[in-house]
Amino acid sequence: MAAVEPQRDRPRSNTGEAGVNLPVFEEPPALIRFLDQTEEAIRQRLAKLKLFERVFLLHRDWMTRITILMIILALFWGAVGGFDIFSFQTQVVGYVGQSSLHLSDVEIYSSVTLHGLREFFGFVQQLEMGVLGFLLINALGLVPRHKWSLYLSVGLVNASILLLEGPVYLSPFNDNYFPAIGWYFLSPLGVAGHSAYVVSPLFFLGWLSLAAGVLLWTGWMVVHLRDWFRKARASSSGLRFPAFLWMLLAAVVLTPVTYVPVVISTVWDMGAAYGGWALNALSNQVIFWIFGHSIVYLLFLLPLVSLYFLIPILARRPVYSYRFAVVSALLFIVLTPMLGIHHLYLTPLPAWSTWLTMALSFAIIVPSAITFFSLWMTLKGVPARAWEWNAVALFALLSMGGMVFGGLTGPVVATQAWDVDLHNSLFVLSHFHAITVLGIAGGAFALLYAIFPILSGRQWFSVGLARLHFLGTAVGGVTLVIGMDELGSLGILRRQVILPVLPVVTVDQWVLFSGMIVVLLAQLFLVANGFLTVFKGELYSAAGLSFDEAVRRAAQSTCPRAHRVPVQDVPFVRRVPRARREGIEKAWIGTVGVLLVLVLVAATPGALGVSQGINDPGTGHADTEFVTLYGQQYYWTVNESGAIRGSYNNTLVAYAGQWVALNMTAAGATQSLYIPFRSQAPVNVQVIPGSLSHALFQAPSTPGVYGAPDGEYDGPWFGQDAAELIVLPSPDSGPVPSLAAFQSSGGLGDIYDPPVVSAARADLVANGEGLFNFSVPGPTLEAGAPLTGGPVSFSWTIPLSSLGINNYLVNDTSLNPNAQEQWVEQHNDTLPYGFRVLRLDPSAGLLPVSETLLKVGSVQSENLTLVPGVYLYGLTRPVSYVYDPNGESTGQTGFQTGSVMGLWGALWVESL
Amino acid sequence: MTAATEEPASAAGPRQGASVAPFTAFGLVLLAAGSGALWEMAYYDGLPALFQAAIGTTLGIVVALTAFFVLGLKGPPNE
Repeated sequence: MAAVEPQRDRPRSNTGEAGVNLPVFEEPPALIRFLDQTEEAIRQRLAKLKLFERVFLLHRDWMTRITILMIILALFWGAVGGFDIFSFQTQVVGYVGQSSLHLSDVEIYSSVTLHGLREFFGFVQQLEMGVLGFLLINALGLVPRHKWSLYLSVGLVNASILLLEGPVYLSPFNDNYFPAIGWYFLSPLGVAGHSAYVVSPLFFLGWLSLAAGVLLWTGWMVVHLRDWFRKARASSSGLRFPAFLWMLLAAVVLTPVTYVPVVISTVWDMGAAYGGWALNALSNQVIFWIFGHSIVYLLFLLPLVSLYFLIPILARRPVYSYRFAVVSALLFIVLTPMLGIHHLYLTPLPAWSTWLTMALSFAIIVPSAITFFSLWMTLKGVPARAWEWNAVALFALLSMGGMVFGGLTGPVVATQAWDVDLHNSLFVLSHFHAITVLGIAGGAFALLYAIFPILSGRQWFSVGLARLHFLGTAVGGVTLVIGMDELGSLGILRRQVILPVLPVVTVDQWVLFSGMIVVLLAQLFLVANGFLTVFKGELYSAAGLSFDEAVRRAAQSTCPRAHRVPVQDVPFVRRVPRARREGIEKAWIGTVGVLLVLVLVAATPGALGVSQGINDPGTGHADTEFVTLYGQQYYWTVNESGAIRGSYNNTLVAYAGQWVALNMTAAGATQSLYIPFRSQAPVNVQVIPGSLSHALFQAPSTPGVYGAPDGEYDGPWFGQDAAELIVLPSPDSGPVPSLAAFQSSGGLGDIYDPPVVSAARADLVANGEGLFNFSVPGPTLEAGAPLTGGPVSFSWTIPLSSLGINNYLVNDTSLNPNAQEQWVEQHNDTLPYGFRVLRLDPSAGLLPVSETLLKVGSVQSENLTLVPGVYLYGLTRPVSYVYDPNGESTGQTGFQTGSVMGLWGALWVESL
Repeated sequence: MTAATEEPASAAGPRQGASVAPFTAFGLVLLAAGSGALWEMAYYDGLPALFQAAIGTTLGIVVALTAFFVLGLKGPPNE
C-alpha cells in the first residue's frame, strides 16, 4: 500500500509510478545535486546517533522525513509558545496576589505576542502544512515531488518564527527588544516614525518570510493536486474527491487569499517606517484583518479535514452527505475572507460595511452547521460494539465539542451591539481558546495519533499516556475557557497584566491559570509517549491493509486491548437513499437560514446605532458636555467645554446624568475608551490615529469615580494607561454627597472603578509598576469637610524597593538591576516630579492646592485644609520615559518611549 | 460487522467495543458544549443594560440547538 510503505528516494521515470507525466532531468541541476548530496551526508552522520535516527525517522523516505520534521518543529514551537504564556500568566497571578513582577513590561507583553505567533504559526500552521501534505500524497496515492521546495518552505516558516522574535544582545545579555505588540500588529503600533513603540525590522521580515514559506507550500500542494487531476482524468475512476479533501482544497485555496493581505499591510508598514510612505492606519488595519480573521478559519480547516477524514474511517461508512460537505467547503472559501471587519466594529468605518460584515459573520454559521450536523449524523447507526474509544476517537470527540462550544459564541461576538461590551474582553479569548485549544488542537491531535505510527513504523507505546494526554487537554482546556469567560463577563480586558485586585478577579484568574497549567502538563504525556514510541514501541505494519485499515490499526494502539475491535474494512451497502438523508440536511440548513435572517433583523437596529454613534458627533440633548479626547501612548489629553470646562490628563468630568459627547482621535497607536458599566450601557469606542471617533453617552446618575481603562493594547505601558470618569453631583443638588450611594450601587458594576478608601486611614504605597496600592488610577480617597473648609490628611509612600525596571518613575534603563535605586540614592531620595493636590473647579478646570517633590523611602503626610469638592492627587502629569540600555535602542533594534501616568487618583471631600 | 472483518484474537482481544454508541456519545458532548455556550450567554441576557443587544442572538441559538438535536434524532441513520 502506497500510503504506509516507505517511499524510498528513487530515480524518476517519465511517467512515475502513478502514471503522471513528471518533469524529468537526466541529471538534476547542479544545485539540486549539491543539496541532495549534502542532505545525504548529514543524514548518514546523524543516523549514527540512535536518538536522531529514531526521532527524525532518518531511515525513511524524504516525504516522511520532512513530515516528521514539521511535526517535531511544530511541537517544539508549541512548547515554546506554552512557556511564553506561562511566563505571562505567572505575572498576572503574581499581580493579583499583590506580588512584585519579576519580568519587565516588554518581556511581559512580548510573552503574549510570541505566545500567539509561535502557537499560531510555528505550531498549528506548520502542523497543518505537514499533515495536509502527508494526507494529500498518501490518500491520493501520489508520488511526492519538489523536495527542496518543501524543505525551503519549512525553512522559511521556521526562520520567520525566529525573525519575529527580533534581536537579542548576547553581551551583555538583553532580550528586551522582543516584539511587545500583541500576537498581531495593528498599524501604526510598532512602525518607526508613527509610534512611540517601535519594533525591529526583523519583525516585518519575519512576516514576509512566513508568508513566503506558506505560499511556497501552497504552490507545492497545487502541483500535486494537478498531478492527481491529470492522473484521475486519465483513469476510469473519475474525479471524485473524498469529502475530507474538499476541506483540504479549501485550505489550499484560502492560503494565498489569507496571506497576500498580510504581505500588503506589512509592506505598507515597512514603507511607512523606512521609506516615508503615507500611512492610513484604518485602511491598513482593514487589510490586515482580512488576514487576521481568515487565518483562524484557515487553521480551523485543519480539524475539519481531520474530522471529515477520521470519522468516516472510524465509523466504517461514508460521510452522511457528500454533497453537503462540498457545499460547506465552498462556503468556507467564499465567506472566510470577508469577515475581517468584525474585528473593527468599534472603529469609524461606514455603517454599511460593519452591518454587511455582521450579516456575513452570521452567514458563515451555515457551513459550520452543515459540517457538525453531517459529521454527527455520519455516526448514526454505528453500533457500540463496532466502535472503539481510542485516542483518535477521543480527540475527535473533544474537537467537535470544542468547536461547537467556541463556535456558538461566534455569533455573540459577531452581534455588533453586543460586541460593545465584549470587544477586547477576555470573553473574546474564551471564544477563541475554545476553538483553538479544544477544537483545533483537539482535531490536530486526533490526526497525529492516527498517522504517527504510519510515519514512524511503530505503534503507540502507551495507552495510558495517550489517555492522560486527552484527559489533561480536555479538563485543562475547559477550565481555561471557563476562567476566561468569567473574567470576560466581568469586563476584564485581554492582554492585561494589571488587573483590578478583587477577590472575584483573583479566583477567576487562578481558575484560568490552573487550566493553563493542566493543558501544558498534559502535553508532556504526548511528548513522552512519542519518545517511548520511537524507541520502544512495537513495530507497526500495514502490510495487506487498505489506507483506512492502516489508520484504524494506528489508532488502535491507543485503545485498551479489551475494547478493541477489528480494523478491517466492512462492506457497506447504502440502505437509506440519498434523498432521505439530504432531506433532513435541507431541513436543518433551512432552519438555520430562517433563524439567521430573524437574528439579523433583530440585531440590525443595534448595529446601526453603534456605527452611527461612532461616526456622527451627537448632541440632541440640552446641557451636553462636549469633550475632546486625544489618545497618546500612554494617556489621554482631555479638553472639556459645556457646563464643565477645563483641560485634564486621563480625567473626564461630567455632572450626574449629564449627556457627554466625545470627539476622539489618537496618535502612535489605536486607543480605546472603555467603561464597562453593568447597570447601564457600557461605553467602548476605538480611536485610530488619523481617524475621528465619536461617542455619546449619559453619565451615571450616581456621583462617583468610575474606571475607564484603555481597552486596546497600545504598547508596553498598556497596563498603566487608564483614565477615570468623575461624575460630580448636579450643581443644583446641594452639598457634595458622600460616596455611600456609589459604593452601594457597586459603582454601576464597572470592575475597573478605583477602590474607595477613607483618606484618614489610607496608606498609599507605590508598587513596582508605579501605582498606588496596585490600582490605576489609585484609590479614591474619601474625606469630609464643612462648607467653610476643614482639615484633610492622608499619607503616601514610595518605597525604595519599588523602583526597578518596570517603574517609569526613574528613567534609568541600564541592565544593572540596582540602577534605579542607585540613581535615587545619588539624588537625595528625591524624584524630579511633583506630588500635587489639585481642586477640580467645574468652571475653571484644575486649580493647584499643594505641591511637593516626590520623596522616596519615607512616609509623606499631606495635611491640607480643603472645602468640599473633588480633588486629584499624585502625579497628575505624565512622566516621559525612554528605554535605551547601553545605547542599544535604535530604529534597527527597536525602541520604546512614551509618557506614563499611574501614580495618581481622586480625593472626594464630602460636605459635613 | 461481517466475517470478513475478523482478525486474530491476539490483535483484537475480546472485541468488546464501546459501551456507548458513538452517535449517543457525540450527541451528549455536543449537548454539553451547546449548554456551556448558552450558560456563557445567559450572564449578558441577565443584565438589563445588555438584554436588548443579547436576547435576539441568544434565542436564535437556543432554537438552532433545539432544531439540531430534534432533526438529528429524527433523521434517518447513516446506512
